[in-house]
Amino acid sequence: MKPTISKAMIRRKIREVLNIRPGFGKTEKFLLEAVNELTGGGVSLQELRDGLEWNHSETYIRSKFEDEAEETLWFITPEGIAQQSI
Amino acid sequence: MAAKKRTGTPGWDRPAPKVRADAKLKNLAAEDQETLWILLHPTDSTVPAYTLEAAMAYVLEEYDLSVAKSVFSEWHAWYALNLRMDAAEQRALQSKERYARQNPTAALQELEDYAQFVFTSETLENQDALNFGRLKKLRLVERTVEQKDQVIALKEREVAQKDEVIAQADRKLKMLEAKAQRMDALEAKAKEIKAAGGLSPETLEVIEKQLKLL
Repeated sequence: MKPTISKAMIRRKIREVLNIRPGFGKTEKFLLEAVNELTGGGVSLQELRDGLEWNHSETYIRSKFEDEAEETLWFITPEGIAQQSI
Repeated sequence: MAAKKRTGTPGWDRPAPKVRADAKLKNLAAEDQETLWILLHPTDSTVPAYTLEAAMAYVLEEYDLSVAKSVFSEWHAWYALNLRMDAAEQRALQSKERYARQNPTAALQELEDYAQFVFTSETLENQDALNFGRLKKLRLVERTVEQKDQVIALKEREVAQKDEVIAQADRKLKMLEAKAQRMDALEAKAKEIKAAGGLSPETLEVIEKQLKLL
């Protein structure tokens, strides 16, 4: 059985991905791909969304809806960068 | 929560905080990380690539860092992602510059949006990127058409305003012509009266009234 990845790990990896080139927003699809690359796979879209929601509620990340692409882009906030550096 | 116990030891005498395992490699200088990556993925096909164990031994020897295999793999995945995003960022910035040169009147926000578009399309899978690029192009064409429509509407309004000005000038000209005709008529009448030998008080009153109307 494949070991499950902890919620804390997913939350941290989300911030880690967003912290690379923080000036550019990342789509949910890309985040899922990147988080799976960093954790070795096994993170579902629902788990990623839970992680995004948690980070958002802690103001570690922010979102922006891109009208033209009709996609939500995610960015790390200064609080998120600080949390990531601990 | 219990209060933090005071040790009385000054900060510089306390042991250094524990370094996060995954931060050891990520905190190496950019050139050192690049060297490590090249050792694992040589650009020259004739040079054999380092195995994970050999790379770990290199790190221990070179930087005096002992890292677990899992930490090393984690760094490897992170660095690969980093390189991918770096390439995407470079293309985004180049495209932004090119777009700015082609559209010197483009607003800063528009340039930022464009760079973001390119970055997103570069980080997506190939097929998605293609569709994304097409979508972006389509949106740009749409926006250009909208802008051109706005310019045409503006010009139409300008033409309508000019037509209005011309019509006003036309009306003014007609009024002036009418006024000139009335003046001519008065002049003719005055000459007629002078020839007849003078003005009666009634005729004078009529002329005065007409002059007041002009």
